Amino acid sequence: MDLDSKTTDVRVFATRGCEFEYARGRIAVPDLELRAGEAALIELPRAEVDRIHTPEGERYDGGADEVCEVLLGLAPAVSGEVRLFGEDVLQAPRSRQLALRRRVALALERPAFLSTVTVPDNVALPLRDRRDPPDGDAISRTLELLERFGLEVRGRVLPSQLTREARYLAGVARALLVEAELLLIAAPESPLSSPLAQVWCGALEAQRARGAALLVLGGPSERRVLPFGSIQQVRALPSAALGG
Amino acid sequence: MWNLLAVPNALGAAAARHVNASGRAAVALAEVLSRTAAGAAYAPPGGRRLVARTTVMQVYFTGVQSVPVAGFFALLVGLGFGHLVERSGFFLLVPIGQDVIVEQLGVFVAALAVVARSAPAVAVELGNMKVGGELRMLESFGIDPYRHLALPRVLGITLGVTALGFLVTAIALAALYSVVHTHPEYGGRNFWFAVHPDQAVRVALTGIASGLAVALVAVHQGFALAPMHTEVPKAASRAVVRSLVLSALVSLVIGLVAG
Repeated sequence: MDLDSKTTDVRVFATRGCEFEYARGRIAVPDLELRAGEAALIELPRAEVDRIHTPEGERYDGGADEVCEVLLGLAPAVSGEVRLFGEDVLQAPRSRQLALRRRVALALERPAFLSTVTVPDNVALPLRDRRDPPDGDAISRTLELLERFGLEVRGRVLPSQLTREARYLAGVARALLVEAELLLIAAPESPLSSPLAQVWCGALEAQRARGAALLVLGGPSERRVLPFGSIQQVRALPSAALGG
Repeated sequence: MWNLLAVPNALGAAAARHVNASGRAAVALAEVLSRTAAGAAYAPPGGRRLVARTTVMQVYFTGVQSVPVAGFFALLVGLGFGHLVERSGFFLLVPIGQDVIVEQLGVFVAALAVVARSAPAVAVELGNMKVGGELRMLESFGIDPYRHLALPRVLGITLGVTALGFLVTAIALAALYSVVHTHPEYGGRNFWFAVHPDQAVRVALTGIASGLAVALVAVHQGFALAPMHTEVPKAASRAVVRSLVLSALVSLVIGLVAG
């Protein structure tokens, strides 16, 4: 989708006073505003976020995924607001939340895939759902994009057969393919190889050039790689300080 | 005095708990139905095509693949009843047997086959998807799981049970006919003339209601479990038992209302 015709003074994304809670305390998301074609990096102090445990006891060593889910209204926030295209996604009814998310693409550190569906079909799923392109067209575009990320997944390759890095890249390809108005992307947990990092940065830059707003969540290493700034930090607040 | 009241008190409390749990289950099933219907209403064009494709596959899994099992049971029902009548000599029971097969047993046997095959499969599949974060992934892309996953299964199982109900009824009647066809009064053309066309409407209604009951219970059990792997087999077991009970209840209610 060409977004050049869209007016750039429309706020695509905004957060204000947004905090959410996990077992070990609260996390505060910085206040920010993004318009079409703008990009920002939310910097995660990984050492602090590392210590979070889920109620089931599973350990996350990222933190970006959790923040992304709150920003899309998938996980509840304790306070504040997250505005997608001018609407508070945290307060919107479920059907409206789904409609808003159809204008967004999300790429997580540890993306989930439909386990019984092949990788190309998984990557093409949001595109097929939103745009209904001819089957051959959707798959050829998917394979082309996956190959740019060094993923040869012709045939019946299932997500469980991919390495963690390959799963991450397939998740990024899935988000890029839908050409959304806002791209919410978590940086990889471990650094990509130099050629892949170049492809990754180039793909993000191309989305921004197309007119999409871009929000990257990553650590200090992404600050050196990404061509845009506006770095703000997510803060992990100890629960004791909040009486939790 | 206290001991005398303890038993009725406990029974009353247990009954109240059961009524409460049944009420909650009914509300949960109504919620699955309404969310699925809403998902269908708000589907983007691509989403509708994906649903249509998955629905066809679900009809195949539920309706077509269940034919051997359901057909075998239908044969047993028809032949068993036929031999009972033949050996006892009570051929007056043939029209009653026909009515029981058409109005109750045909669809119930079809529902039984689907409950055994598809209900636990759906509950396990959806449960595993919930545990694996796949439902949340769909929601993150604005894809409603009730539309993408529940709707094809509800449509597929409902259509599958209904079609299978007609087939099982026909096989059971044919099996009964193969035993009594030589009887001068109840065999021959008279056997088939005794089946009224309006009974087809009842088969369809019972099939739709039973299929809907099985599908909603299975989908609810898959979606509602706590996201832990140990919960998945429990959900499968609950899906079988509850969909069987609900399906039988639905058949009974339709039978009572239709008279």
